[in-house]
Amino acid sequence: MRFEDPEVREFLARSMILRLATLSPKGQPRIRCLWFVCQRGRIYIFTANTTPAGRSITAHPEVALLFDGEQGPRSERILRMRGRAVFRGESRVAGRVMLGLARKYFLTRPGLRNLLAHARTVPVAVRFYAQGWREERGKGLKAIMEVAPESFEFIPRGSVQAAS
Amino acid sequence: MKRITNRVDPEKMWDLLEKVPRACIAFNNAGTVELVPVECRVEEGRFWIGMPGGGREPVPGSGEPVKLLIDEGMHYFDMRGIWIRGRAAVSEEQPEGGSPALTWFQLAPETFVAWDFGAMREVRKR
Repeated sequence: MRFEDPEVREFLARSMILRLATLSPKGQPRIRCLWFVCQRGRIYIFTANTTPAGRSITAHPEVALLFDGEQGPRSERILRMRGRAVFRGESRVAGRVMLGLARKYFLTRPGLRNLLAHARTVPVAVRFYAQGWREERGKGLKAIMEVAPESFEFIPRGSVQAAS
Repeated sequence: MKRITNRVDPEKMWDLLEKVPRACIAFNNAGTVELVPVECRVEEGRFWIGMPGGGREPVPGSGEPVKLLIDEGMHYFDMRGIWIRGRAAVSEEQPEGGSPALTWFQLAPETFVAWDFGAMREVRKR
């Protein structure tokens, strides 16, 4: 299956969280769950090249991702993607991706509700990212991971996970 | 010196382990990273991982390092989870109520790391 397949595009549009698996430089498996946006036939993730996942990608750019299709009726399938990841540091790419992430996760009714419910913690979250940026400044920081899809496959959910 | 963290004591995530919302594992399959959704159960301190058998999905080699991720939430302050690094070995047994259609592994945990974006706070830097 390819990115252009309507089934794949529809499933990605419904998905909120991806699980990203990488291999560390020593070949150890790593997983993270992350926000993402689809733009121009690629998956974009806000995570820096200085994180453990970032260092993994420098050594092993091949990654695997799972998408759950969380929005709408519960899907009986999970989508797995394989691809190659690189980091992008251009400000135009970062701006485009950050805007996409803000639209998808914050500028929606549930997103705003979530922010308002935790309004007192928002300044702490802002400091969390500022702290990361300060610590990595001047180290060739690139904050956007771009994954070029190579293959997609649907996995029947029922074969592995009971309905929650 | 203080810093902001979303890390929490893994003990605070036992509710996630008792009723796993979603789980997957990653492992190294001869140089290729594999990522497989799994059924996960924790019973009396034993970690069970159920995976489709019969060659439908790749499975880790017995004793190979794996990383198990259990998480929930999709909006910022709702996101929380735990990852467990350990070694998985095929088991002849299966957990109570576990599907016999799955191949069951037992995970020997080595490291636990938990996070909760809703619990983000300032802590003293160690």
